[in-house]
Amino acid sequence: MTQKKVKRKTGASQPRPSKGGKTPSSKISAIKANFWSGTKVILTRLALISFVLLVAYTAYLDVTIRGQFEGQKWALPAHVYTRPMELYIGQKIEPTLIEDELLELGYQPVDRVTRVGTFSLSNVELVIHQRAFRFWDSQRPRQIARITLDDGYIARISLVSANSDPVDTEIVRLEPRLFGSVSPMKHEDRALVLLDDVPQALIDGLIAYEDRQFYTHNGVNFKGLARVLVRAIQTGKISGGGSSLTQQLVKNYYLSSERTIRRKFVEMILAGLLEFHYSKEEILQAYINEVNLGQAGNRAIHGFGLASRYYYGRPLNELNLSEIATLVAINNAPSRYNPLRRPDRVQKKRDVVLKAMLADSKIDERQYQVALEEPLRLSPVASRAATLTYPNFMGAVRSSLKDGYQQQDLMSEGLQIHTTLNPRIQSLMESAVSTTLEQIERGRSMELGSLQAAAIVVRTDNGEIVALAGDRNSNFSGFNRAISARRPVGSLLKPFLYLTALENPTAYSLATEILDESIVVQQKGSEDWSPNNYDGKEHGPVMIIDALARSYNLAAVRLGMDVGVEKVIQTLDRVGNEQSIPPFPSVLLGATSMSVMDVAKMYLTLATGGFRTPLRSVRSVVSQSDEPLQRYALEIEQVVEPEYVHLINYAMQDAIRNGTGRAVLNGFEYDFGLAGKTGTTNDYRDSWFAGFSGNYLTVVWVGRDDNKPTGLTGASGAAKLWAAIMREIPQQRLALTFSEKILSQKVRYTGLDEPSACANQRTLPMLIESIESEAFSCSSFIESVPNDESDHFEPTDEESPADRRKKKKSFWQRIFG
Amino acid sequence: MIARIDSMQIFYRVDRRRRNLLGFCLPLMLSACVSTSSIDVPTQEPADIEERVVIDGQALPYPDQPSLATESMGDSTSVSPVVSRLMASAQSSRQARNWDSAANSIERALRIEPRNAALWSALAEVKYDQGDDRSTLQLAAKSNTLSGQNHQLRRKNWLLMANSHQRLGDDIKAEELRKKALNN
Repeated sequence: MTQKKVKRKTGASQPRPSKGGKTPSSKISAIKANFWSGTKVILTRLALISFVLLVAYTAYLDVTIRGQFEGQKWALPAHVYTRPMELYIGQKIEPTLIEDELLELGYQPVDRVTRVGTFSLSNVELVIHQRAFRFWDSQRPRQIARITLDDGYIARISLVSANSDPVDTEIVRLEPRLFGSVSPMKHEDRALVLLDDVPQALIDGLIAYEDRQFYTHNGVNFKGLARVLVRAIQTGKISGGGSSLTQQLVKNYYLSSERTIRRKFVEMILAGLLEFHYSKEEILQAYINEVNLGQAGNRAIHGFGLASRYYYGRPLNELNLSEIATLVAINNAPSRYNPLRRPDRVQKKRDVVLKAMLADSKIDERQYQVALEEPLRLSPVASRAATLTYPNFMGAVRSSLKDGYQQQDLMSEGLQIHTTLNPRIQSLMESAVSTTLEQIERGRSMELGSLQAAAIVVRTDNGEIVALAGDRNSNFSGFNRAISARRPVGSLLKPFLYLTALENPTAYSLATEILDESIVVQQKGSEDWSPNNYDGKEHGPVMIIDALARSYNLAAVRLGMDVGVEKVIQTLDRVGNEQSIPPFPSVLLGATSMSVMDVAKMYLTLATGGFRTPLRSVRSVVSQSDEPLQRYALEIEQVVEPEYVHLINYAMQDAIRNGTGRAVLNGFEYDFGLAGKTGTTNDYRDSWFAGFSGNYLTVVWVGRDDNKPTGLTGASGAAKLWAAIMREIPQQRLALTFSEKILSQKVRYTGLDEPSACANQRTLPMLIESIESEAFSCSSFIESVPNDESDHFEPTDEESPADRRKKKKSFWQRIFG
Repeated sequence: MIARIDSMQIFYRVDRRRRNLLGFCLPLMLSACVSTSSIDVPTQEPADIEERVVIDGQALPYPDQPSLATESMGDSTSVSPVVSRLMASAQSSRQARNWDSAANSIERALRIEPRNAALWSALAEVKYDQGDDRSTLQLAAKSNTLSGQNHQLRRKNWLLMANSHQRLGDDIKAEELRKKALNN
C-alpha cells in the first residue's frame, strides 16, 4: 500500500534520467522531441511544485505533530479522589465495608501479606501492605499496617515501614480512590507514568513484540514492514502490524483507525518528524502514556498506567511479568483482545508476547515458564470500580472548583483533587434509589422507568456532601437533577415559616393555637388566592406543632400572612437560600422551585443547630508535584439562635413520629430522633422529603421528567426513598441543642367529649418568654389514630386523587345510600 | 429529670384559674433555677416513653451501642486515643505556626467526634491565632452550643470571643463577655 505513494513521489522525477539526451533525426522524432521536451518542462514543474507542496505539507505536519506531542506531554487532567477511609482505635469494624473499600482500591486478599497491594482480614487482625500515597497533609511511605481487632473493635494499630521499626499509632488511613478526572468532553483519562517508574519488562515486552528495531530505526521500521509484506504475499492477506512504535504513537494521536495509503504515508512522515525532534526515551514515554488500551463505560483507557489500574486495580510497578505481558497483548487491539470478555484469546497472545521476549533474551527460560503457568488473574472488582466515575458527584466538584481554578488548569496541570465523596454511602444510596423507585412503580402499576429521582446526603457536622444522585441510573452523565432540576418544593418550606414565627417567643410557641380555616388572600394586581388543605377540610384551632406535623396549608397561610411573607423569605435567605424569591403569598406553601442541593443548604442550617454551613464537595487540592495547594476549610456562621432551632427540630421530630413523615419509620431498628418534613406539590407532580439524624442530612425528590402527575405524595414517594437511604447508613441519634432558656412545659388538650376537662396533656419544649406571656388554654386535642390519618395528613398511599375519585359516591348511591 | 418536671408542674399547671398565681411565682422560681443552674431542660438524655417512636404498640429502643460502622461519629465523654493523637499533631502544627495544617488535624478529629465541644473550641483558638476573628466567634459559639454543663469550656470560649471582639474594635461586647465568663 505504501509503495504506491513512494512511486508517485519518484514518478515525478522519473522522466529526467530515462529521457536524458536530444537526437533530432526526423520530423516525427522532432515532434516527439518537442513533445518530450514540453512534457519534460511540465513534468519538471510538476515535480517542483509537488516537492514544494510536500515540503510545505511536511512543515505543516511538523508544526501540528510537535504541538500534539508537546501538548499531550503536558496535558494532564486533574485527578479526582474519594475521601480516604480512616481506621482508628476504638472504632467498630464493619468487615464487609472495609473489604469492599480495599477491593475497590485494588488490594488483593491473601492469606499472608507479603507484597505491597495485598491484605488479609480475620476476626482478630487486619493486615494491609499499603502503597505510598501523597495526602494533603503528609506523604505516607509504603508500609504494613497491622490492625488488631478485639470483639469487632479496633484495639491496636502498629505500622512497619522499610526504614523504621514497628511503631504503634492511633489512626491510619486507607488511600482515597481515584475515580475521575476533569478533562474535556472526550472522556479520556490518563494516569501518567514516568519512564523511570515503568517496569523494564514492559519496555522489553513492547520492543520484543512490536518493534525490535525501535532503538535503531528512524521512525519507520522498514525491516518489519518488509516482513509483513513478504508474509502478505505468501499468505495472500495482510496480517496487520509492521508499524513502528513511533508510527503507532502517531496513529493514536489522530485517533482514527482509517487504513488508507494516504494515511499510512502521512503517518510515516510524522513518525520521521517525531524521531527527528525527540529522543527515543521521550517517544517511548509518550507511547506508554498515550496508547488506547480499552474502554471503561464511556471512558477511553489511555496509557499503561491507567490500564494497569483498570485491569488489575494496581499501579504498573506492582505487576509481575505475566501481567505485564498481558497488557502488551491487549495493546493495539483492546476490543479484540478484551481480557474481561475473551480471556482465552488474550492468554494465547500473552504467551506469544512472552515467547518474543524469550527469543529476544529479555527473559530467561525459567521466568518464561513461571509466567506461562500463571492464570490471567484479572480483578473484576477493580474493573467495576474503574467504571464507578460518579458523574453526578463530579458535577458538584466541577462547580465547586469553578471559582478557584481556570478550566484550562484543571485539564492540564495534573492537579490532585481530594473530595468528600464516600463511595460506601454513595453505592448504598445508588442501590436504594434504583430498588425503591422500581418498588414504587411496581406497587402502583406505573410504567417501569417513568419515575426519576434526585438525592443528596450531607454530613451535618461540616456540610460535606458524601453522596449525590442526579438520576436513577447512577452512571448516567447527562442531566444532573441533583444540581440542575429545580422543582416546586411544596411544604418543605413550612419549617422556615414556623421558625420565623417562633423567633418571636412572646407571640408564638409550639403550643400556640392558630386557625386552620379557609382564607382568601387578596393580592394587588392578581386574582384572589384561596388555598386548600390536602384533605379538603378545615381543622379549626390547632397548635403550631400539630399544624406543622400534619402539614396543614390553611393554618400555614394564615400564620404566614400574620408574620409577613417578606419576613419568611428573609428567613429562607438567612438559612441558605441563594435564589431570589418574589414575595407572593403562595411562597408560604412552597410555590418556588429548588433542587435537592438548594433544599439541603437550608435544612443543613437546622441540622447544625442554627449554623449556616456551606456545602462542600472538595476537601483539598494537591499539585502534580505533590505540593499541598489549597484546603477548603470548615466554615460556619450562626444565623438562627440555637433555642429556636431546638423548637423547630422538635416539631419536625414530631412530624416523623406522629405526622406526615411516619412512613419513614418502618424498618428503623432504633429511635434516632429523626427530624424531617414531607413536601407534595399540585396534582402530585413532585414528591419531596428532607430530614436528618444526628449525623446525616438527606434530601430526596421523586417525580417525572415530563412533569406529569405521579400520584405520589411526599409520604408515599420521596419519604420511602429517604428511609431506604437512611436505613442503610450508620446513624447517630439527633440530640437537640442544649439551651438553658428552654423548659419542658406541660400543655393540655381539650377533651373530645368534655371540652372543659383538659383531659389529655403533653410535654413540649418552650422558651421562658413564651411561658411568661402565653395563656395555656386547653388546646383542641387531635387524636393520633392511624385510621384517621387521611383526615389530617397529606394524602397517603391510599389517598391519591385517583383513589379519592373512586371513593366518591355516585349520584344514585348518594340518593339511595 | 422526670421527677423534676412533676415538681415544677405544680406551678406550671396551666389553666386559667391559676394564671395569677403563676404570674407571681414564675419570676421567683426562674431566678432560683437559673442561679442554681439546675434548670430542667429537655436535652440529649433519653426522653420518656411517650416521646419515643412507637410502632405497633412497641417503643423503639435507644441504641445501646451507637450503631457505628466505619467512619463513625461517636459522641464521647472522655478524650479518646485517636482524638488526643490528632490534637497532639494539631498542637505541633500550631507551634510551627502552620495554621492550615493545625486546622486540618482538628477537622479530622471533628469528623470522628463532631459533637466534641472541646474540638470546636480548639479550632476557634487556631483561627484566633491566625487572626481570623470572624471565624473565631462562630466556632466558639458552636462550641458553646455543644458544651452542655461544661462551664469551664464555656468560660474559655467566652474569653476567646471577648478577645476577638476586642480585636475587632468592639470593646463593649468584649467587656460583656468577660463579665459573663467571670460570673458563670
